Amino acid sequence: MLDKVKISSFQLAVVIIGFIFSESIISNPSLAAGIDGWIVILIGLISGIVLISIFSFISILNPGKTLINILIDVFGKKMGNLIAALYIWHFIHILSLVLDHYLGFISSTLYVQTPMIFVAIILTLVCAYCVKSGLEVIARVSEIWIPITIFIAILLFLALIGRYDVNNFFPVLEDGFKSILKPSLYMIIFPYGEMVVFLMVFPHLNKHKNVFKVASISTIFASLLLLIVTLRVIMVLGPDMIERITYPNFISAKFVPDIHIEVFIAINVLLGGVTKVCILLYSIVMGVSQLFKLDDYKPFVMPISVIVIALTFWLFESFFEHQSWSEEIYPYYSLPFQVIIPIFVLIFSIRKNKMRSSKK
Amino acid sequence: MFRTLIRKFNYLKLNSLNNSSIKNTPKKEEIPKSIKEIKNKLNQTFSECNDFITRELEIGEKREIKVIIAYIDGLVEKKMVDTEIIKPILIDSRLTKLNQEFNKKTTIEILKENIISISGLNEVDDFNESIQSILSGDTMTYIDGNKKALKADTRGFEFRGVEEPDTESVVRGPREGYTESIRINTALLRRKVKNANLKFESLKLGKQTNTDVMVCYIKGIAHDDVVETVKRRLKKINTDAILESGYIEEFIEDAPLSIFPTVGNTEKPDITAAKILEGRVAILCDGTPFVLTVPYLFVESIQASEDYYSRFISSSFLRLIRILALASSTLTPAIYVALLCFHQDIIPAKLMITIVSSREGVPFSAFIEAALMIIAFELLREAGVRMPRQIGQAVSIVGALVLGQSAVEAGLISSMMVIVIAVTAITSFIVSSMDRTIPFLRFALLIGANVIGFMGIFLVSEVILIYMCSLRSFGVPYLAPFSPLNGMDLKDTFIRVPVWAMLKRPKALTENKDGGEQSGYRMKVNYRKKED
Repeated sequence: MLDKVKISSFQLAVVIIGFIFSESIISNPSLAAGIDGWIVILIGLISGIVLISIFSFISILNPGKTLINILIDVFGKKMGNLIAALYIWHFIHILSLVLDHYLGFISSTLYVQTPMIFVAIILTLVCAYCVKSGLEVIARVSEIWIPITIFIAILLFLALIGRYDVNNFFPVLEDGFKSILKPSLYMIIFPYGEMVVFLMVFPHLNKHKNVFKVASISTIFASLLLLIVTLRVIMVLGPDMIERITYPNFISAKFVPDIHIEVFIAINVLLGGVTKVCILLYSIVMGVSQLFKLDDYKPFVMPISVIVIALTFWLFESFFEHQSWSEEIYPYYSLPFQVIIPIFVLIFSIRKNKMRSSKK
Repeated sequence: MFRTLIRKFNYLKLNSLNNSSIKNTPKKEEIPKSIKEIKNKLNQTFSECNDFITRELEIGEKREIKVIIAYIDGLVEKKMVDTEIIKPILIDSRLTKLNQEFNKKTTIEILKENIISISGLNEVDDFNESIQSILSGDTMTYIDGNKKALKADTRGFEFRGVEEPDTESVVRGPREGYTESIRINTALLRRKVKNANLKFESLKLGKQTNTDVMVCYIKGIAHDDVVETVKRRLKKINTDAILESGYIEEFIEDAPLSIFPTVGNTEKPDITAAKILEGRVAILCDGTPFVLTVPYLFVESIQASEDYYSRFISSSFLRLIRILALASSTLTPAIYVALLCFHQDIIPAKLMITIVSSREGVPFSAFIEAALMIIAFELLREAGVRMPRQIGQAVSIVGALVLGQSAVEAGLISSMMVIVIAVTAITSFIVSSMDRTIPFLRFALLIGANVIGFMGIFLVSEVILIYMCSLRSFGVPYLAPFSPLNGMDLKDTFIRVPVWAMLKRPKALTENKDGGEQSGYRMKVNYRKKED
């Protein structure tokens, strides 16, 4: 199964851009720092490149192996399986957080009266169908959707030019560096650290040596897009509005003169988010099937989807609980999964590679 | 429950593509030696066949060798049989001076080399094959005491002339279309592509009909795998009758249950020629002017032959218009319903007032209204296709006046909805190759829009997109130049670049040994530059 499915460099790049860009536009972690959000983005970009290079070098040093196989290699059979299971749990958790983000956004801005469970089910069904069709299809669908999302983001940036106020940037770092420390940590974890799931996707790249190049370039591109969005929000809304509004990205689209296009933009962004849900769901079911050494992952798609939907409704009472949890606890909770264990795995892989080459 | 259904569908799919246990090639049977036996056998085979004709002749110096000539009346050109076969045997054989003497063994050689004056002459030693050739219009000559017989190509029957097809009329470009005779069709193609690499491989399909089918491709351009796949799938067809190429299409397509066509068809030789020059494979079927081309990709539904005959700027513009038409024909009713039911805030206030006042007194919801009108339109269209041309006007009067104006005046339908459906209808005519697919998409999107507004539309289109991305046509992804993306292949999609700038053949179709280089074009460009 692993050998057959191949995706091209462009497809991988598009999927990575969709993964970073789509959800962060709903709840932009950098805007927790107010008008200093752009500094947070730049910090996030640098650390994101460091993280993505860790992940891609792990994949390069273990060609043809997914995260599950690598973990079992590194930690031995028992420990490895345990940590792999924990990772799968972590991915399920991330997926329900993502879904909760989307549902919160939809139910508070677009479809106020529609029951959340209905939206959750149809959204997850579409993603489950996509995952069942295979990784190639996920990549191809993103290949068409993500460029449209990018195009609209840039178009919106241009459409709002008349509303920009450059004075909104000042004063820079009014409260000192400490105020942007927490948002920066969240930024590192939220779009970039979650990219650890791509360890399940990297082995499918047709030119496997290009992993680092593709991943880093697409990360930089996505971060620049995020920067554009953040600049737009800061210049349009200003410090007071950003603090008060829950979805500043969405509200800033309402300032486009003469026409109301925010619905299109919101839905477009949501559908970019389908990429993120699909990649996460794919990684989970692929991980489960590899953990239990099965050939096919398709039977797991529906059960896992049901678990994810249930977890989504079970996790938080309200959006604000989610928001505060993800800002206060989430970074520390995911630090071991997204930073510490990968660094350990990388060191181990380098040592193992050296030993192998010295033997030869 | 669903699993059993799915399993059944899978079985059907397998059955149509992979069932090769029964082959329809008949066993070889020798031709009997004595003329009496041959006669008996022929009469037995063609008993009660009124159009089967045999004639017994005698040949040789002492008229001792008997010869039977057999053909089917109506399929052969009678004059040819009379003057080129019967007359030489009766008269010329006596007049010409021969090196050999007539006896039972040499007769066939003499007939073949010295007497019968027909260009297409072959020896046959299989009785069943000889019957097959009689049935397809050849004339058989059986000779007493010989295990071989002679097959003379005397095919000649009435067929429609080469005319301009109604379905694909053009303003500029060749007007000739295929006919029902496969031989004429191959000739039309050969006249376009005068190249020995243009291959026609023939097959007989259908246990009862024995229809002639030809696989046509250009060797060196078409991908070997595609050619092999086509031939393999054609050979696996196990059915009674092939009456039209549509039968073949259903047997060989990749996704038999899909609403999207994965096999293309055309009535014009210039279109087929262009497609096989890009590396596709054509399948010609006797008895129909429609020629199939595979692989068929989504882009082809927005391409037209005229794009390449008119200047590239105008044809690029037309491409964009067609894409717009495709989008508007599927999306317009859904967007209207979504706007009206869910997103009223997007509509400008003045327009909203007009819409509301036009909907005053309409008893149905927007969705029911749209669904009714779409169904009415489909009914009208089908009526227009099926009925005789003379009463076409009556239908258009009924359609335009009764369903349009009167329905609005009676308060059944809002005038806004009539506009929406009119836009939908007109645009659906532009992309005529997708006209069997669009109604399904339109309805699916409409339902999505009625359930949850724009999000429904986007989710349904996402599902459609996922489905299209998972489709393949003979190994080529259905959405080929868009996804998987190929930058060079985009030259012939949204816009059509000038012909002299099309340097390479589509990569998705021909990842071939010579790199798919379209030889000559690059040279031409350089040449032009030098001239300047």
